[in-house]
Amino acid sequence: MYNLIKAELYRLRHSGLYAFFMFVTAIAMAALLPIMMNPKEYIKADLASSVFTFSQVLFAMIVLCTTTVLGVYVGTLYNNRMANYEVMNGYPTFKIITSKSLSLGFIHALITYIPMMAVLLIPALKNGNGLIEEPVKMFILLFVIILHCSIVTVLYSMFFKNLVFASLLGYVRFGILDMVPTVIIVEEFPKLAEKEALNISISQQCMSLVRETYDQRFILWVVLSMIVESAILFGLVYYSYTRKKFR
Amino acid sequence: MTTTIIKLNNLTKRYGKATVVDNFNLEVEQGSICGLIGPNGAGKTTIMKMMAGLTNTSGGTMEFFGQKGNGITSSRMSFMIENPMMDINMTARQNMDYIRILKGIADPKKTEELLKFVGLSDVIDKKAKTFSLGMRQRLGIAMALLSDPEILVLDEPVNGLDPEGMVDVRLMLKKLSDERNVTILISSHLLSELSELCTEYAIINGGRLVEKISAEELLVKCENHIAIRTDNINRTVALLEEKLHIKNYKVYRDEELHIFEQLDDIALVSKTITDAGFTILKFVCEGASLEEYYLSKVGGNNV
Repeated sequence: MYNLIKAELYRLRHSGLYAFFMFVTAIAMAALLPIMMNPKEYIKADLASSVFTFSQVLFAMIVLCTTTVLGVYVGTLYNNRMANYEVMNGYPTFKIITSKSLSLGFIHALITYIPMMAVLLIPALKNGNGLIEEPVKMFILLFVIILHCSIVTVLYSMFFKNLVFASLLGYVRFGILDMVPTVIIVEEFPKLAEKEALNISISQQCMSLVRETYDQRFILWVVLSMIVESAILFGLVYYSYTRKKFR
Repeated sequence: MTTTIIKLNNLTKRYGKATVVDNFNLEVEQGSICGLIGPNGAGKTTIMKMMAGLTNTSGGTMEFFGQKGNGITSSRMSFMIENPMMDINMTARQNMDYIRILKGIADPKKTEELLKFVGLSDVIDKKAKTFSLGMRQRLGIAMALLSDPEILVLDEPVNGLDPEGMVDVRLMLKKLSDERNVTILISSHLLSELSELCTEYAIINGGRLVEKISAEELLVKCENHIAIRTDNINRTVALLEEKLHIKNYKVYRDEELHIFEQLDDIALVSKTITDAGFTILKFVCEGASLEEYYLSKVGGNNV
């Protein structure tokens, strides 16, 4: 397991894709900085009336972008057949899936988390909106959400084992599957929406967090939904590995 | 005493209703170079994939080093199946280091040693995407050799190599077999290359083993005539008909005589000709090539 994680991190470090990704993130952050410093000056619409909503939109954009990059990265592993090496070296399926989802998931979550921190913290500090009453709790929860996003993206990509499918994942899981049902449920089943139906929605989780409307019960539901989704995906990937449908 | 290091018993692979590998049996001795030859779709790559654990078996068992294991490999085995697997955005050194870390090999010097061994020391820090197909094959072989394997399984390793590269790889594999006693299972479309390398051949067709034959046995089986040239071929023929009662022969336009009998007593044939005062210009036992022998067994045109 140690060698698997170490090798994966080595590859990540030397990946041209990630160097490009880091460069784009840095440029994007630099471009967004003036807006984040004073959003009301730049955004005249209703959206600007709430720093919280603005942060949430940025969150959704960053997560969509980064999960897609992660999907491309994992998909490339399979397109180049690099993933076969782990199998050929006799590593057990369980260890391969665990090491890849954890190492890539954690590093990717960290990369996503840093600009997110900036997005949420800078306007709050600058404008004194009192965004954060319990900053530690909120940022831990935020990291858990992003970590979940990253891990399930790795698992989805491992299940598809294909660059094209994997690269579309950001939009499928965190775009279509996340946002479209949320809108439908809110419109059609408002009572249900008020309860637990939206807990699997990443954007909903984020919204609740930044608005600090979460309570203990909500957090439990969120964590439970994360565990269920991850467990189902882990099972699917494990099944696909035991079928050994490699290229 | 030879030891069987690879033993495949009734290995079977089915995809739906199609049986790709059908009760395939093979034993490979330690230190030998076994060529797996067969037409397209015969199941060569599937067999290798099953050995590597890249695909499950539908039936049968596999034994490596005397231990049973379906697709369970270890650091004692290395594979290069189909095209070499590598990250084309990484350099040759980085690709090697990735595998080195994955295999838990501590010594980083090994990377440079092996890249030098396969003739890639000049491009060690160039990205793999700039490599030709032949260079990628060499890198793939170097990656496979990282763990000092006792068994090396290579699927089309000379694919895309220029003639010089083919000779290099052949010599390299021979060196591995001779010096390190590495057992090699190799498949290739280039039978002429295999015939210069392998110590035994496994002919496969339709997922079944047609024949397993050693290089020595092949030589004996293929030696099917004596080719003779003398200063007077017509009188030589008459002489051999009279003295040795030879009937099964053929004289070609280039005045070469092929005798398809008396193969076990070529000394007598030679003596008869020289005693009669003819000058022998050519006298050699010839036979079919590996390709001809293979085609006679498989009965097709595609390898």
